[in-house]
Amino acid sequence: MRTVVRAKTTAATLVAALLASLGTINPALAQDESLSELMAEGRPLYQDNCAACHGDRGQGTGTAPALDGNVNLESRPLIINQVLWGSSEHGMPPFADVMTDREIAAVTSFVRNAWENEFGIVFPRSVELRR
Amino acid sequence: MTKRRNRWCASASALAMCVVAGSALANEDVLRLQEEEGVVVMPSITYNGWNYSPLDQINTDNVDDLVMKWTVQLGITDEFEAPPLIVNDTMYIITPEPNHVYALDLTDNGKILWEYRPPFSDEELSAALEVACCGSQTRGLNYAEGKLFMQTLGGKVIALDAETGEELWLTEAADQIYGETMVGNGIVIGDLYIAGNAGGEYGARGAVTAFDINTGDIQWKYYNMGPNNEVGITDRFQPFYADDQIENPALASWKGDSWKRGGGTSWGYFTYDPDLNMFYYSTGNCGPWNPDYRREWGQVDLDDAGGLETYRNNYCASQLARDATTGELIWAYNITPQDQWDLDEPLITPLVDLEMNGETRKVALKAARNGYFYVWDRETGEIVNDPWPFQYVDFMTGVDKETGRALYDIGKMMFTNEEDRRQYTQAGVLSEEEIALQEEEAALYGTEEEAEQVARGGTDVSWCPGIAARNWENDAYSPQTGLLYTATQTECRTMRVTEGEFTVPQTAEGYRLREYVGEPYNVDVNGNPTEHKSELQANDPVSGETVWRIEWMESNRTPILATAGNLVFQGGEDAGTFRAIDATNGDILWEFRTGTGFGVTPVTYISPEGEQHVAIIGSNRGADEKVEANAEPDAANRYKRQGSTLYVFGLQRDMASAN
Repeated sequence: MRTVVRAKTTAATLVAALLASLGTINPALAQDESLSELMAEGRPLYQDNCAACHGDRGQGTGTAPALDGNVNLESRPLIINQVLWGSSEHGMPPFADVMTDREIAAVTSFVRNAWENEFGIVFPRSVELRR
Repeated sequence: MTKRRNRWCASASALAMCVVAGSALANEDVLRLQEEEGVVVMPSITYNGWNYSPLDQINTDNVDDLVMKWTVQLGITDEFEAPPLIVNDTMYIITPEPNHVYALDLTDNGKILWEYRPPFSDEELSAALEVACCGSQTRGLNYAEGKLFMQTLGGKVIALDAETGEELWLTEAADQIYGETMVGNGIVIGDLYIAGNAGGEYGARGAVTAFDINTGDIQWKYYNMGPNNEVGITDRFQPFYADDQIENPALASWKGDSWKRGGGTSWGYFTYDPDLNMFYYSTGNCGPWNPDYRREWGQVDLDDAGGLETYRNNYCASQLARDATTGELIWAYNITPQDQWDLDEPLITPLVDLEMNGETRKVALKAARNGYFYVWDRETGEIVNDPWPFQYVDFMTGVDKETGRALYDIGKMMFTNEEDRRQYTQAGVLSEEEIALQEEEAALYGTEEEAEQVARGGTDVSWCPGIAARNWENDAYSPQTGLLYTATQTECRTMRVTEGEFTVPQTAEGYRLREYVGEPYNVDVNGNPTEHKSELQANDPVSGETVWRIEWMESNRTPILATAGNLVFQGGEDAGTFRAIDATNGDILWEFRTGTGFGVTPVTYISPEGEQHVAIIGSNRGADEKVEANAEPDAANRYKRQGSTLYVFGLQRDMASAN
């Protein structure tokens, strides 16, 4: 991986410009609309692929930890990478070859917002960026 | 009658230590039984930790005639990791959660003599799982003087009558408020059952505890870091290297009070030298993974060669030797100082007498998780080999034999803040690609937090072996070949450390303070990209060479049994296949497909009819290996179904003679 040196101000300035470039789009509103769709798609994916280990209500089992109330889910990169690439040391299989970007976005959006969780949406683009 | 205890021998203070005079050294019953061929009274069979059986009826000439004799369905859908025990024509098996114990009659094809179910509620188990990093596995039973000793994940240490399954005593020994659990490892020495703890991901502080085998009373408990009196450091502590010959070495090497939640737990197996009356174990990862919480923030002091001079965080990720009667620390060696790569070293420490440089040395071996192969004088802690990498390692460049220090590549060390990192290196500063990704996501999600994250910068570190060159699975050492057999892995990974704080009581959020980044990648021992994920290696501790290796395309890290039949037995997690392998050259001589995975060592014993049998439990974690209905016939997970079954094999001629 090539490394570069960038001044913090450069990155900050660029981000500010990017945020400004959103113009009239209301990101929060866009997220609300997509979240319900992704949640609906993610629920059956969760039951088929995750519930056996993490519990049908995200309560955890002897095999895998609880997801309901698990603040590790607050980190979007963490949950996306975990689902994509698994964690062989801790018994989590990778799903990169099993699910599409949208499916992973759906199932991660589901677990981040199901039960008592309120961690927000995961867009398919975030999954794509990490493949 | 059951006695249930939850007390210290002399003090109500959890920090006060008490040492009582032991009346015996090795346990005579264990010493006698471990000499009997085919008897297994502890994980890895013998005190020296070889996982080697002297049985040779089954050997390289006839192993192809192995056939199945009988099976038992064990009824728990999870990965079994505890080696079965074999005593008095009985096989004892402990299951993962809910930790049932079976006594199987070997004179009657595994008829269940009794079954014990420990007294814990679903709520207790849930509480333990909240602070258990890796599932509810348990890794051991021990036998001595007609008793079985076991642990539950939640920290109940229990003795059973091996004849009847009656519970003799139960002692509560873990505190989940501070992230502490137990995973079943123990050893019986004298009249003590010595056990470790787990929880290094959650702020637990590593310790070993000795229980009276007759009463369950705690005789002593010593931590792996902290003040001398809590670590068991007395004037008998004689470490070999100068870094450890300082005042309060397990306290002064930590920033502030970070040692109180410093990890370094004792979740691996123990070995014991009866002549020296010392037991050996190594400790888990330092906690939290982010080292900035255990040193001066953002500061690393390396000597000219790359050896770490300050905040070495003694003694997590370390090798320890203690007096088996008093628990006092005799020597210690910090394998991976200030560990920041999750380099637990919980694996077993085989004890061997070797001819090295013209003299016989009593040594302790370790194919370590950091990827280096170490040989110590087990009396003094001196490194007597030139430690060498058995897998590709790029975060270390070697070991300084004068100082004993691991030599680090500063570019592979973790920093929370970009500006701290830049004091030492430009390596690991975020790549253009990662910065672009973060910028795009900041715009995509439009949150102030993400904009701040991009503005703050950050550092990612890719390293090998990420996250380790191997794991806890038992090695096997064969005195026939002089080789140590180890299951290894080829993975490298990228990680960043994050900020956070330790909370009490500990919860599922954990105390790791790290995130993985991107896809793992695999390299061979020379650092070249490879497709194979793991290996079975046969390593020569004298010559420092890998004599042979089998490359597995799918992950296959399972414990290994060696026998005097010049064989190595290993469950083939990669293909659901149990295998017998030539111990001299690595040729696969026999395979049997069970259709599931493996997590436990095979065992071998003499049946009541006088024939050698080999047994293994096939098992898998829940839905780890979900198989789609339309999967290809040769899909990697086709033969790794869930389930748990004990399989027992013997030679074909037994069947013929029986008929």
